[in-house]
Amino acid sequence: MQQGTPLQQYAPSQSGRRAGRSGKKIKIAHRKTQLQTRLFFTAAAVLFLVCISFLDLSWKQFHQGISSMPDIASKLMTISFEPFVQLVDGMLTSLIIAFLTVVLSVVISILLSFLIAENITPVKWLGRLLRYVLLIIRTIPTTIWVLLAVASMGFGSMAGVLGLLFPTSSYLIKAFAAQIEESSDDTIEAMRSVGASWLQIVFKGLLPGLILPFLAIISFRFEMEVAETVMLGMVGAGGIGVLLQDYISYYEFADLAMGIVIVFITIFAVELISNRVRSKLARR
Amino acid sequence: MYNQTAVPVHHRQKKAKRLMSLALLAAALAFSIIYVKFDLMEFLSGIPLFIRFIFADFLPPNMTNMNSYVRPVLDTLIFAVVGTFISSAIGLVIAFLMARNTSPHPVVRLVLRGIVSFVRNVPFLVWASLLVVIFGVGAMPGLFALLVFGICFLARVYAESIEELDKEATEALTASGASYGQLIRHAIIPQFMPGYYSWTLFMFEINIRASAILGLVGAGGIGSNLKQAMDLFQYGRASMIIVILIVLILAVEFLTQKIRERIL
Amino acid sequence: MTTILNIQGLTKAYSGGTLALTGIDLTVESGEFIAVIGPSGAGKSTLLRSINRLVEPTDGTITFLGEVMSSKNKGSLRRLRSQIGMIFQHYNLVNRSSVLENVLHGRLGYMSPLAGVFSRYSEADKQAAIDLLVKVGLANEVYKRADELSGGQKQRVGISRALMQQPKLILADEPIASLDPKSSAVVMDTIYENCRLQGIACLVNLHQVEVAKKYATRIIGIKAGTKVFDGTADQLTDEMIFNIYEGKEHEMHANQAGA
Repeated sequence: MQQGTPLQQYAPSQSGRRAGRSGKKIKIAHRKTQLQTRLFFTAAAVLFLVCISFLDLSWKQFHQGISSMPDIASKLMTISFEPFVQLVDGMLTSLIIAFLTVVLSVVISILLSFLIAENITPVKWLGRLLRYVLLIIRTIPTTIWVLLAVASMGFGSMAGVLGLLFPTSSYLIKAFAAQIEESSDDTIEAMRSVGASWLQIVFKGLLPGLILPFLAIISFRFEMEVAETVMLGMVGAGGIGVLLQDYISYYEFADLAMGIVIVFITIFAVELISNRVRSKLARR
Repeated sequence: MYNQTAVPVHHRQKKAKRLMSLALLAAALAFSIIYVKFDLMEFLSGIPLFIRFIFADFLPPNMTNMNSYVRPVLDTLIFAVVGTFISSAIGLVIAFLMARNTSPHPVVRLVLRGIVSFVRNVPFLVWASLLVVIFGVGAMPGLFALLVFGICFLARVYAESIEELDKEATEALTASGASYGQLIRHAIIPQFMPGYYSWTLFMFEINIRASAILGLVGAGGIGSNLKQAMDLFQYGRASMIIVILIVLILAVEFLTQKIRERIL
Repeated sequence: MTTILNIQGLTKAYSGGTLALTGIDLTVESGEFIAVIGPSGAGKSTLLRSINRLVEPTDGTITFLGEVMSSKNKGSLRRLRSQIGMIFQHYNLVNRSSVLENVLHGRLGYMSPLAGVFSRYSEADKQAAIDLLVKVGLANEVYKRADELSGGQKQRVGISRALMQQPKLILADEPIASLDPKSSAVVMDTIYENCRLQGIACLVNLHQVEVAKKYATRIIGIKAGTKVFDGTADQLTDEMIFNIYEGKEHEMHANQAGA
């Protein structure tokens, strides 16, 4: 048995690196990682300081705002049940706008996504062109689409659906196309070899296997859509947002509090259900 | 053996289920259309009108007086930088307090989680309008709205990436007798950095888009110029602002993508 | 010989009721190199982790250097842990830190919490860490990032980190289970040589009976949470081996990754 030698204190051995022998501190970090970290945070700090010096925020405004907060908070606390029915009606309208938008967008997107997916597109240049158009559509914030739709159609839920249709479709087309591209090229090749037409490949060969992943994407988008619809009501697209905007402009905070509660519960519930649906789909 | 009989039954059930879902969908559609008095014909005829509106009234963008757009663009960028910086600092602290593996106490974690999920589940524009009421119009409510949203968003996604870190390094440092602070500094933070960079840059992208929207409720930024132009029916000007916005957003996304590729 | 570690009636029941360990008694003397063998799921890993309280035992006492390990007092737990080095199957390095930093992590337990947070390692510690790395053949890797290394190199960093603690005891949990045979030999030699030279007692969990027989001064056989063998390599008969691995015979020899 090896009887333990007394614990060795580690004396610096001769083979050690020369670094730090001359009284300098030994560096320990990985240089590139450390450099990147420092660069990132220095740049961020410099940018922040420059930007904040350009920002003219008045102390007076801040002070007034803060001093008005207890008052507003106490008004919010006197939550009112009076507008309950009206708010539920608005919330339902918002949900319906989201629902109709998603349904219409799905119809549009299923067709277009097969035009865009690299592995199945029948006309390559058209697919590529569409991609750029969609990029532009997606880049424009949803709110602006709704603003344009309201300007063309007037206030109301139809303008809401029309405005939301563009960003929603472009999102779905992109997500669907990515899913199609992931699906097996074997199916496409096999069906082509037996002389199936493009429509046959799409509807008989690919679509059946894509329904579950598509449903997961749709449920995720619906979740986003509900939050968007509530917001967009505030710029005139119908639904509960209109009511909320009114309450805020007329300082009816007790009613607003009720509205916030209803919105919170609804969005929370939608998120829960959509999560449940997706985990169920994933298990299949 | 029994499988052979079981297959058709299963098949029939599946078919019935599918029919049921389709019927439910149709019923929901019918109810929706009736409830909001959605006139499909009017809607469909509205689409060409909308497209004509965009191409005839809206385009081309008004290229004159480009100087007047410089200040709003700068404001938007300034908003985004300041908003991202402050929310990333505060969001980081909250994230460490509420991530399962770094939270000092379960009660702290639960309370923070509740607050964050409440704020996040009420749409951004509601908070923005409320802040406009509190602080009056201008840059201040806009910045605060970005902060409220940004802090909660980042706290959540930071906390999630901290929770997803593998526990191996933490285990090793615990075993060697490291304290709570040392664990966070030496095991958690280095591994969390890629997630931190990535989400913070993403926040910057969101903030550019958001400060464009904020203007609509009177909270400053390029959105207020857009709203003004729309209200005065200056569509050429409005479309110019949208074009500038597209360029701005794409440029920022390009830039953040480049930074992401460099830092790994 | 002085007693380093004394385990009495160690029992661990996981929530859900599975008994991982049932009444293990074990004494480790200074200078011993003990291999713990047994099939996967026998409780080897739980045994090691119970010693430094990475796993909280359900029952039993563990005395380390005459002091009872308990999770009650955080300060004393830190102090005790800092004298026990640990080596892991998956190396458990901080991947985005340098190799040198990873080795220096072994000193954290000896530093004040704040000095540790700010990486105020003493120059002597830094030099010692570099010397250790040179000794295990990683002179050119000192400033590399841990994720740039191969598996065998990573494990040698893991060993250096454990040695950096100047431990009285090293716990090695399947140190070679994720390595190829060549790296396995280097890693086992490194652990064995360093423990012998510095008189560190060592407990190694191993799958492979041959490796256990080659290095161990004593072998412990664990089966379904119970100690079924405790003796020298010569006393470990084939019959005994088959008893330990009953039902999982295929695990005796194969150099398994994972598990």
